[in-house]
Amino acid sequence: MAKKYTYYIIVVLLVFSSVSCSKFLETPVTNRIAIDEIFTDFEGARTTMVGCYDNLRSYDYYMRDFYIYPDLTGGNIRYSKTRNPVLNNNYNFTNSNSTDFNDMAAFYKTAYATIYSINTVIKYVNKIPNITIQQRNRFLADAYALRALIHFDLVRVFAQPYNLTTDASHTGIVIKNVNAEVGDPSPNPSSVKQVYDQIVADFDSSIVFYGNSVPIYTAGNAKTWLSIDAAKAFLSKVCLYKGDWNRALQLATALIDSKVYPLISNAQYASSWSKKNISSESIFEVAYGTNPGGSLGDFFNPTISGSNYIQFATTSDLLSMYDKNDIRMDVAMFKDTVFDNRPASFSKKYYGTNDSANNIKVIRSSELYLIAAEAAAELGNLDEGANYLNTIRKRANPTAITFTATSKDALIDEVLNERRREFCFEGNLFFDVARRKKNLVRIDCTSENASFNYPNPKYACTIPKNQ
Amino acid sequence: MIPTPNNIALLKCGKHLLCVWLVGLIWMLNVESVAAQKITLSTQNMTVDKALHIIKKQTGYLFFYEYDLVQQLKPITINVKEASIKEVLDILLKNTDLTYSIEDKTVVIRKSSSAARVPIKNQTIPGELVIKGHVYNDFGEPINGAYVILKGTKRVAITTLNGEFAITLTHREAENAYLIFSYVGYSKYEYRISGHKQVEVTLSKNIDALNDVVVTNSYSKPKRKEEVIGSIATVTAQELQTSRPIESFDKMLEGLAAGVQVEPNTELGTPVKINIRGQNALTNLYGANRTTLTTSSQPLYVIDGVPIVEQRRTDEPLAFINNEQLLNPLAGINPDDIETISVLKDAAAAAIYGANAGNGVIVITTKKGKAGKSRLNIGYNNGWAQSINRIKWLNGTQYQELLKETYMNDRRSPADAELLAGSSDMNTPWFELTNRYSTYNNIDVDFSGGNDVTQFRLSGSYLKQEAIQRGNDFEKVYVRMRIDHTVSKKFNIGFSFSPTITNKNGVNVYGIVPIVPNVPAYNADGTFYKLSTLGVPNPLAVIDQNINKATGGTFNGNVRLEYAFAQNLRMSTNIGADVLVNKLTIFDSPKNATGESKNGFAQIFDRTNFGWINSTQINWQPIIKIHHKIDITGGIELQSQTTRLLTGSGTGFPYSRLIELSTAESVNTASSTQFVKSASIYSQLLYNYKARYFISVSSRQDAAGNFGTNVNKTINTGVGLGWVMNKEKWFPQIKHLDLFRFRYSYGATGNSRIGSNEARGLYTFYAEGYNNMVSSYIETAPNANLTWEKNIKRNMGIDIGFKKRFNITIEFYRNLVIRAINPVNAPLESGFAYRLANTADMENKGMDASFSAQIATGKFKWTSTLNMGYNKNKVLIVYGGAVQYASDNALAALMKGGISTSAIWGFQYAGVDVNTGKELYYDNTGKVVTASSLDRNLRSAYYLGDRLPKLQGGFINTFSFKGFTATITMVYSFGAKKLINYLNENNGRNLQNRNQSVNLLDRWQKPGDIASIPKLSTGVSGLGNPIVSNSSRYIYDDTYIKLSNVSLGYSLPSSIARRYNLYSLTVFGNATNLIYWYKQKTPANRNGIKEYKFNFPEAQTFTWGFKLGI
Repeated sequence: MAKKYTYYIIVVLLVFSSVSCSKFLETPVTNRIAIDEIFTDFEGARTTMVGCYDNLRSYDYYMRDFYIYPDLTGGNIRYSKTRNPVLNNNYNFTNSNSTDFNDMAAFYKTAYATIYSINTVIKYVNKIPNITIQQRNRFLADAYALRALIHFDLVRVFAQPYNLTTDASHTGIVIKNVNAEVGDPSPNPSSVKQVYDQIVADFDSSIVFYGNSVPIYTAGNAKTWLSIDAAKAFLSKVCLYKGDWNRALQLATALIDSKVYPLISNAQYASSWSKKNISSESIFEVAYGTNPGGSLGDFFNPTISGSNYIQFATTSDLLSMYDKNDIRMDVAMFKDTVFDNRPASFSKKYYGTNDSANNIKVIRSSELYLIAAEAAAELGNLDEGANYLNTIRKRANPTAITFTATSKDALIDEVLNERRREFCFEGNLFFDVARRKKNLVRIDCTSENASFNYPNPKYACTIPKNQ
Repeated sequence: MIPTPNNIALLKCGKHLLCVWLVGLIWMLNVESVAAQKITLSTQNMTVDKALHIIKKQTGYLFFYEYDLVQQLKPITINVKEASIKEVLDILLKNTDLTYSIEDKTVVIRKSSSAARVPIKNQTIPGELVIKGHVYNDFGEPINGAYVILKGTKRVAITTLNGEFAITLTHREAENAYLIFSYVGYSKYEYRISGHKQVEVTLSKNIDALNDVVVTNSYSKPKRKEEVIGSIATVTAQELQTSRPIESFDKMLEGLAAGVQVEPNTELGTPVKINIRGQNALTNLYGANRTTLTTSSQPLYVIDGVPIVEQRRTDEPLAFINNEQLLNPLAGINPDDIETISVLKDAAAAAIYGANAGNGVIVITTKKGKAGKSRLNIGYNNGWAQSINRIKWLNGTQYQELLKETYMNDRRSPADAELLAGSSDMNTPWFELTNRYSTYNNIDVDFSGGNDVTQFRLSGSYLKQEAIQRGNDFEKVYVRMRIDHTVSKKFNIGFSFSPTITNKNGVNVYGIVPIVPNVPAYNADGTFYKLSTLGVPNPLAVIDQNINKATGGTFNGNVRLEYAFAQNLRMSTNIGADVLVNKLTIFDSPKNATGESKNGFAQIFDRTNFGWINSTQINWQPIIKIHHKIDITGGIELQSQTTRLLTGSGTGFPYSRLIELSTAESVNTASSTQFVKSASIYSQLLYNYKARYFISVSSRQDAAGNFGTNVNKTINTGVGLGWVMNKEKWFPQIKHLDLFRFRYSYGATGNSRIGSNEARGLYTFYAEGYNNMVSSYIETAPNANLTWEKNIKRNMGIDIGFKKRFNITIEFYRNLVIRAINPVNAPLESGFAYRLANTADMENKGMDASFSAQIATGKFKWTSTLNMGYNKNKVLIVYGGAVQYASDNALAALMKGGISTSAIWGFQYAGVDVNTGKELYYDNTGKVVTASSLDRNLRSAYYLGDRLPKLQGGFINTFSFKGFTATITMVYSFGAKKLINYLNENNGRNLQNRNQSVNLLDRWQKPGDIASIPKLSTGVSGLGNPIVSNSSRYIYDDTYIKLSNVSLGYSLPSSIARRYNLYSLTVFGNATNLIYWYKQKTPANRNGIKEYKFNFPEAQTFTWGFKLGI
């Protein structure tokens, strides 16, 4: 009997020990895919590009931190409650260079993480088998446009305005057009001029690639993906920021004249913010999808019960700027309520939450009008400038008096006021204050640093650093 | 479960059922034994041997006799009906020289004492006589294999199966001689012959003597203590004191083994961190919620040869890492099933486990059945717990006053401040409302027995333990089967299987947030008051309405086959499987703030881990020459672990009693699979000469795919030397010295437990990304240089034994960790906040010692054990830069050459500015600055102390007298510092959200105040002091001694027990966490280390119970 068992044992042992070692040790990858494997097909490569877009839709970026920063620091927002205010260091201008104490650190990290992915796409795009040149061009066009947009957003937050020095030689941000190897030391920031040059070059490249490309995404409205027009619109804005008035005006007017993005009418204005529709004047919107896991509206909507987030009430400074007939002051645009025992008014631009959340409008043709107005004013064409301004004024308030430009400065100041009225909570105010070299004046503000004069180091957010 | 009348009735009902069941069981057993005694036998000319077999079958009694004695008897004729065993045996053995005794269903047949006096054949040589007799254990069972030594000579006899022995000696020798009786696990017994020829000896079980056998690893047979060179701390079943109300054995280990530090926690059912000779992995510099980024800092646990899976893997998707709460896999082992625990600390002991042994190895051996009469043990434990050392919070009036003051300090008008601060006379006792006296219940049943061919042990246990926090409890059902079977002389087979089911309710996760006291708990209509403006849900509503229920199952089993080709050449194989499932359901009810905005939110996690292992080894003990003993083991091992994860979450539960994802309005799911595989070859050579010089060499090669596409191999080897110096002639003759041994070992182990494919750049996926398209995100950058970390261990030890009662072991060690893997900060512009790298070299240096003594050995017995571990950690080199900093100041950690990895880094508090009330600090030049102008970067931080103790251990005393036993366990720790959560007393910064410590009463209020707490401010408007989370203000000295356990027991004398047909009965009482002594005292009516140590207070538990053996 013992002999029989012996055979069994030996058979079992042989089976187990004859398993080929190296074959056995191969571990299949399931939930993660290595860089060199993901670009071996078109669908894999596309997921990386979609992932870059998806990073825009995060609390770190357009869904809160980046988008709220200019309105919170510029004076459109006051906290409606005393508990758990978010981005409080921004409000008080107390961001430190440590990631722990810097409210824009998450934005900074996400921005550069996205740039890493974009650069990886640019590096591997030629290895994707079986794609057409037009598909490849779309990858590249999106990559360059997105890279330019992210650098533009970074430089606006973390650097002093372009015109601080006459040649823009002051410190900007780190340009990343090539990914570093692991363990490489921290790179030095480039000058603001170099950064803007890179941004312009990237947008220019993207415009070329878009010119000979085909769509590669299967879902979502076309306006929720970048496009040749979006690249041009953003480039127009970039030119405005760097004072290239000619190009800013030329790009803006060309898009306006194309009539592809007609202004929303006064009658439809309020509803364009309340429904989950793509606005006709939108050129690029950040899409929420059906399952966003939170939205920008959570911070504005006082009707959400039990939420921790509602806190961005409107300052009296901003409310006092509107005429009572202004559609943008309508009850459809602001919700007046009592919050934490005090009256508060909340913008309804992002009223929807979760699956009803409105897309985030990043650039729309209204802005092209005001870019054109400002650029024309700078170029001395005061009538042309006033004309563009009045189009926006009258759209909002048909009873408004036609603005007549008496001087370049008066026109520009009125354009700035109109920008604040039109683009409040759309991520512009503080950047406009800085690039126009204005003093910061916040009246309805409890911060220690409610107001300060230009120039001031506070016009650039401190760059966070890993220690 | 909240005690509603229905539930209480159920509980009571359950208790009654249990009683009925127990009584019934005892009754049945008694009935059975009475009934089975009746024998019916009718035969003619049958051999006595055969007749005995029949009786054995009919009665189930065990028979012990020498075959020859019975064989020589004449065949008999017998005819009985329903006779008692006594009657039958009387007939059978009538007119023979044999007699019998019956005890406890065991029949021993031997020569009658008169017959033994008749000279037998080998006594024919004149001048010699044979002393014969039997050796029994406490229970009267014969001991097989006991040694009988003629003192002062090498003459030895070994007892036979029925405990019989015969030893020959001369008449001269016999006059004044002693016989020494010894058997593993029993106290030695000296017997003065003085003319006796028949000797009946009973040996009693000795707790300490169990230490004579040491389980050195799961690949080879246990070794006698003298043969062990490696540094191994063992804990036996008795030492583990399983009657303590502690739910898992890892927590029980606290203070029981030298050099093994258990970092306790206060949360039921969660794993504890065990540091063997200090922390052998670097402190994670990338945040508490990514603890899995470094290699594991936990020891390797091996149960009967099967390694226990580490539940969480580093490469799991964030959905699991962030939201899933895990059960402690070690709680899947019933402490009552553990026979011994061996903690392998040095390379000589651990190198055979190679690449996973860097943090030490804990080898657990479970109990097996013993040949002999079947035994049933029933144990029951019941008790209750209360909280001790609670943090004292502000009451409602104090709270309102402070909050009002805070708002006024923030430049609000007194009226506004009064309005915002709320009620001044309400005081809701949140702690009392959310906590309770909790109960503890445990029932253990084990049934074991067998014969020389098959031994079995079956055990089952049910544990129900409540946490002090309401809504939290823990329930376990353990089953374990173990069967050992000898197929033939050459072939053994063993099998064990152990399913365990765990149910855990952990709903009250908000219990540690101190809710402000001046809000009500209930509305006037009895509904739960909403705390939504505070940003927290009402914890009472959470307890009542939410669900957080985990159900876990572990199925751990193995089959061992052993074949002996020859006496000294054995081959064995162990096939083990470890399956672990964990199902967690979390439900945030739409009725309270947790799930309100989502109209109910449910998350379901489903985790299954399939692990298998096969190890096959050959053991050869070649016989070369006398005095040379060689023992060679070599084998291969294959391991595979597959983890499958599935999670789903749903929002929108209009009908909140149906909590399944299918009833949710919108559903989101994710799944993931991870693999780890390794193949290893190991070998061990043991050699000793004259049991005086010992050498051991262990080596293991591991191959794994963790580091990328290429399979990586690593070899770890350990060498040990032992020298029993007192056996040398030149060694000075010291009276009573039994042992003086020197040991040394050197070798390497590793730590490969990081996630798979970490060295490649990896994308992770999200199905519902931008515009609901599949999105991927880059997670790690490629890092081809990542490689194994190594742990080089050196150990030197001295063992001293004297008077047979005192043992001292002192060991000195140095563990060098080379190329330790840790996440290090990357420049943010690189796109990654951190990267994994082989970051630093580190060492742990120190000493372990244990002293054990049997101080009194007479009727009153007193055993005392003191163990201690002294450790000093130092980071030696940090690669690629002198220092690496934590990503987050609150971690208060950095990595710097020359300093411990567990050091606390922060800023020295300089008190409160008398004039302004500002918080002051010393900057790095020694100048006093305000907190807001302090450079709070870790770059400027100082060393403020170490989180781990310099010296720690336990002191255990056991007293027994006439059936009474008392065990007192003390645990101590010196030199550790504790950085407490600053939120509890942070200058009022968080006062508007949560209650804070009463220490805040000592705040600065007006110029001239000398205060310990700065001026209060919420900080919202940029006024007040910034947060310095790693301030020396929040550091306390964690030096303590605690009386961790006292247990008292009484065992009924066996004579009395047997009268009631019982085998044994012990009743006991037990108290844990009785007394604490802290070096740093707490001022009256304030909080200090004693209160702050655990955010949630510790439990003091009192239990009583009994253990019944049948």
